[in-house]
Order: sequence, then C-alpha cells, then structure tokens
Amino acid sequence: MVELLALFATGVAAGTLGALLGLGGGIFLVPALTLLFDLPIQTAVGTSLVGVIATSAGVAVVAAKGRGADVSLALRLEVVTAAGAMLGSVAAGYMGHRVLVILFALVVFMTAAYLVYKSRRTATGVPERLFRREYHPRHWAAGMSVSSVAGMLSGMLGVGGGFIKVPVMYAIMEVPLGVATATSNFMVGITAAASVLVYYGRGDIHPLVVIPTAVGVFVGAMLGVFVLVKLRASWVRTALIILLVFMGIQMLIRGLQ
Amino acid sequence: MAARQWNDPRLRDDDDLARRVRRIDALALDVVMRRAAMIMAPLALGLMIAGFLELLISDPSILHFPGPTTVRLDRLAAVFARRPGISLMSAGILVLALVPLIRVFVAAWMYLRQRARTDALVALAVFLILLVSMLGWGG
Repeated sequence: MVELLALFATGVAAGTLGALLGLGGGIFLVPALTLLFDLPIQTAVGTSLVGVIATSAGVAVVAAKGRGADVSLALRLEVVTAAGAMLGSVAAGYMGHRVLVILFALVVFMTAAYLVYKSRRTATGVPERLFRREYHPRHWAAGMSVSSVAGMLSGMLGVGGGFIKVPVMYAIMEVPLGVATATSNFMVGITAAASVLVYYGRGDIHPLVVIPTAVGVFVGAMLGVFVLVKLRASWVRTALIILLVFMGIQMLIRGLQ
Repeated sequence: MAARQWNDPRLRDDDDLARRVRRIDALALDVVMRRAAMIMAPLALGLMIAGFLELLISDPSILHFPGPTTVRLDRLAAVFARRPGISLMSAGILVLALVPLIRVFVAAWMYLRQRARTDALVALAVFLILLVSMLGWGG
C-alpha cells in the first residue's frame, strides 16, 4: 500500500513539474520510475503513456473551448506520428534496457537544450501574436519527417514529443506558436494511444502501478497550471533545467553500468 | 460568435465569410470531441476504481508492487469470472486508451458532415492506424 501512495506522489510531482515547463509528465516520470522504483524501463514507458493519455483526456474536458488546436493540421501530422509511435513501441520490445535508458538520457539532454533555447527566445522580448487567424503551414515534407521521429521517440520512451513537435510546427512549418503548442497538446494523446496498446499487449503495463501514477500525473498537471501563476517563471525554468540535466546524468550512469 | 449573412456589407469578400464558417465548424468539432472525452474519461476512471476496490476487499494480498499485468482484450471476458478486480482495471485502461481513438473517429464523422472530404479521409487514416495498434497488439 505504501508503494501505491509513493507512486501517486511520484505522479503528482511529475505532472506538476511537467506542467511548470509546458511539457508532459513523461520526461520526469520515466526516470523516476526507473531510478527510484527500479522498474524495467519498458514498464515505466507503458505507465508514462497511460499517464499522457489520462492528462490529455482530462485537459480536453476542462480546457477552454475553441482556443488553439488546429485539428486538421494535427491529424495530418498524426498520420506519420502515430505510425512512428507504433513502430517505436514495437522496436522497444526488441531493444535492451540499457539502450533505452541511454537513449532516454539523450532525449532528456535535448529537452533541457530546447528549454534553454525557449527561454532565450522569450528573453528577446519580441512580441508576436500567438494565435493568428490566418496562417498557411509550409514545408510539409520536413514537418512530417520530423514528426515521425517524434512519434518513434514517444513510442520508445514514453514522452509526449512536444519538445520536438512544437519547434517543428513553429520554426519549420511557420505555424503561430500558440497554435503549435495547442496542436501539440492535442496530438500527444493520440500519439500515446498508438503505442500504449503495444505495451498493453506485451504485458508491460501493471494496473497497480499505472492507476495511482496516472491519477497522480493528472492531478499534478492541474496543480502545475495553478502553481505556475504563483511562481516566477524564469527561476522555475532554471531550477527544472538543472533537475533535468541531473536526471539525464543519472540515467546515463545507470545505462552505462 | 454570431454567424453573419453572406450578403452582410461588413464582410469584405468571400474569403472572410469562409474563414468565419471554418471557425464555426472548428468550434462545433471541438464541442463534439469534448463531449466524447467527457463520457469516456469518467467511465475509464470508474472502471479502474471499481477494480481496485474489488481487489482491496476480496484479496488485499495481491496489492503488492508491481503486481499482476493487464488482461489481454481477447481474454477479458473469460478472466472476469475468476479475477474481476484485475479485469475491471484492465478494462478501465483500455477504455482510457480508446478516448483518443473515439475523438479521432468523431472528428472524421464531423468532417464528413461538413463535407471536408480530405480532412475526413486523413482522420479515418489515423483512426485505422490506432485500430491496427489495438487489434494487432492490444488484443
């Protein structure tokens, strides 16, 4: 019973931290389940994917209507992203624990680099409209290629992939940043659903691990949105980037041992 | 947002009307997808909680870490009689995994109603990928 409460608390922490950074909880949850609870990474990834779907479904219910997601763009990108996720989750079954752990560490470092880039962009102080009505997505080939990679990483590692999808839509496809973020949030649930059933069928999902964790991630995500307005964003971001780098190093050490 | 008549002099051209119609369509789609999530998500949560409570009452010794794995879709009904708690929790996880699938199907249906054929075909393609994932591995 103590472990179930600990899993719930871990989920709350991961969901809160993820929401503070505008990421999903997976980037914190998978390392926590692997390092603290000593779970196989495939089980941690399956758990994280259920948490992503739970958060996505919950946000869909409580979020403000009509603000942001370009569903048409999301579904066009999801054709390749969902296929990539399915392939990634199948591949994860054939890859060793160490390989996945090292790969996850690299993704954590990439996420930290993306957050540094995002904070520098914000610091330039150039105002822009987050939700322009008129825009035309461009460079579809490049956008879909990178989105398929994001899908594969999501399927292999249990992350939402937003740290790839948002820059792809914004910087490559020339979609307004607010629309790109909302569209990515819409996409993560579908991407996770494409791969979670592979983990389910493979027996990598344990209900007694998944349920308290997924409920915790959802609660944490809602809490994170509430807490974010109370804290100074730059301090939070710096602290969490340091935490991400520390986690990445721990995962790398674990994988290389 | 109130719809304007096609011959409203405040509209500058047909593109402006088309943009407004697309926005109304997008809001309608958002409402329907939200309703799908509002039905499925609590159902999934209810099944998981029911399964957990059943285990807590009937066999607390099974509440160890990490515990048993989920029951495959094709064996869910057969296992339910022997292990209802795990079966209910497995069913809850499956229903939760179905939420995005249902939302995509609803999007395809709404696009068909709005005669956006390309978008409907794209949505159906995504739906098929999710279905392959479910039937190929989840079951």
